[in-house]
Amino acid sequence: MVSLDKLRPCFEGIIPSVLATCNRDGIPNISYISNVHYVDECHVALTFQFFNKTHQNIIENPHAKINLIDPESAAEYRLHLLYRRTESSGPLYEEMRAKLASIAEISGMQNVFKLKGADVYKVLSIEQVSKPVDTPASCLDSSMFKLRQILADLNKINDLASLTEVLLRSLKTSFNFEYIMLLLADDHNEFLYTLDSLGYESSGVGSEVPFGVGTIGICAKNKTPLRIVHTAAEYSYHKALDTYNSQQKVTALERNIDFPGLTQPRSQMAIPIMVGQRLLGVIYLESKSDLRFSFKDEDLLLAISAYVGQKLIVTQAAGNKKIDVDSSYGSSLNYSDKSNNIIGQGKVGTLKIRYLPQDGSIFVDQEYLIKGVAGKILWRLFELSREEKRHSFSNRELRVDKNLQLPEVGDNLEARLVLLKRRLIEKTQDIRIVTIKRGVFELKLTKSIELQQG
Amino acid sequence: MSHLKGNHILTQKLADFIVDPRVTIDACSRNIQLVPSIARGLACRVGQQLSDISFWVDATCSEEFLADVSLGHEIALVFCLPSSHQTIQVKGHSATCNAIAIEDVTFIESKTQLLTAELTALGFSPDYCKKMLDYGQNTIVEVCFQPTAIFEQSPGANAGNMLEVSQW
Repeated sequence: MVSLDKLRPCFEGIIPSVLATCNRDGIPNISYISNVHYVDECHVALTFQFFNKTHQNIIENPHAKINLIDPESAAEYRLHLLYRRTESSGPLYEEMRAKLASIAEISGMQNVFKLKGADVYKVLSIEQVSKPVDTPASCLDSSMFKLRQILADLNKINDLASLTEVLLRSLKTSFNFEYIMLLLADDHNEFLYTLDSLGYESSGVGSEVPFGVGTIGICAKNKTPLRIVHTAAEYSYHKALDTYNSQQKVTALERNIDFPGLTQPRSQMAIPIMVGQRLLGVIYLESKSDLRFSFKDEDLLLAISAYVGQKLIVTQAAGNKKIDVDSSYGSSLNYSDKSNNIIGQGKVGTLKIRYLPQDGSIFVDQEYLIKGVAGKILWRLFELSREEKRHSFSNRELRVDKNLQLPEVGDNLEARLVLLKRRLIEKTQDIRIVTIKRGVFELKLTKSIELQQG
Repeated sequence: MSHLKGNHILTQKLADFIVDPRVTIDACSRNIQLVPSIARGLACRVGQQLSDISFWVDATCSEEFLADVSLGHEIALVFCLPSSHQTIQVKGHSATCNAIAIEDVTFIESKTQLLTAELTALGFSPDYCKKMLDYGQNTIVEVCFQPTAIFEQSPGANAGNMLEVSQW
């Protein structure tokens, strides 16, 4: 039997497929379907939309036949299917819903295609119908070599900042992906925050995507890859976020870092970064071109994301080693006493830092910098600088700092520090967090700091 | 409400649609175990009295379908105009298989060329269409049957409903 794997180009939704079923009285039914989904080497899933007769028939008689045409070679295949079950939520359903949305857009049927469920079938047999047809001259598929190169590059990395840089750069240079983001999940799996991006006018570092919103959020919520190869308004992040914000009554303050994504991407792919059943983040790619991402890209990115997940855990653990902070690191600052709210008194110029403890927001000279855990960390660094008159800190001391109350497992401290460093670089020239050695960093200030809480 | 069911159910407008050379045709039947079989239709013709439909398939890739039809099992055909997605399904019985008439060979060739033009206008290359629509000229079989019911099959909420005469 022909392997179902070899038929994967047929599942891209480019050529409609023919589906035949039969009711218990022997009356056949035939229809065209736009979306046949590859589940695994033994199963496919079909969209259950408005073809009620088809669904009714397979409930009565589980046998079905489907005719597939390869969009590259025009080879034709017939699959004998046996209906097993219908899924109306979960990863498979979400994958198919996203794919259907893009097919609906390209067909001008945005208000017509609505997924009621994913009908899962076992593939009993595959028959190649037509005689072997001419296929294009075989060309060297270099994707495995590129994968090998990327994994080798990532293998050399020991810290999170380098990991994100190498990952994004490699995806761009090896695969010519134009717009890439790396987002990590927050501690409560409510939001993902943008740790780094490539290709956009504005990096959007620190911008947030709620779980379940847009392509990225749905990918994260369901821990499943999503690939959309045409414009799908339903999956536009900007539209989805506007809806979310209006529903949640999100204030302007909470939206201060704009999401960098394209307003109208024509292709999107979101790949979950998983370690076991735990979601660490999402790699998101988008393009201004249709059909930019294939199932081969999805496979490659899933392999890369699995490795990135492991590296995230390793880099996190590496930053957790006990390290004595040497107070001689860096140049000395003229710290004031605890009663004073000024750090670095005597420097030319003063930055006013305002902190809102309710959500960890930090403002630098009234301009929003960051919020959440990263904001709380920065404020704590300012407090320690003021109270203990030092400017070198270790990751480990922050982990055990009772004022921060980071979770014992999966605190994402390294990621928060990377995020903080990048936001500082983007927003001010006067505050820097500089890594001295692994697990140790220094707070560098070129102006004095005036602290204000509340 | 009048449904299209029973003898002589085809209207001239419906007949014009299903014989339109730009329309794709796919057919199915089933075996005694109720397992469906599929065949691609090469072209279609409606009898002068609108009471019967003939269509042609390539026997080399329609063996199961022709076997099921020969046993007298019901058949269903789906017709779709790709540029508009307009689609109908015709069900029928009493199908017979016949050898192709000489004059029908040219008819099928002409239909294939016009369908190729329809598909290339949608972005498919002529070379790809040629491969997809290819058939063996010496293995064509004619299938003739009486339609018994016609259904709306265009994507949308009405898909699967019986066709309303008033719309045709």
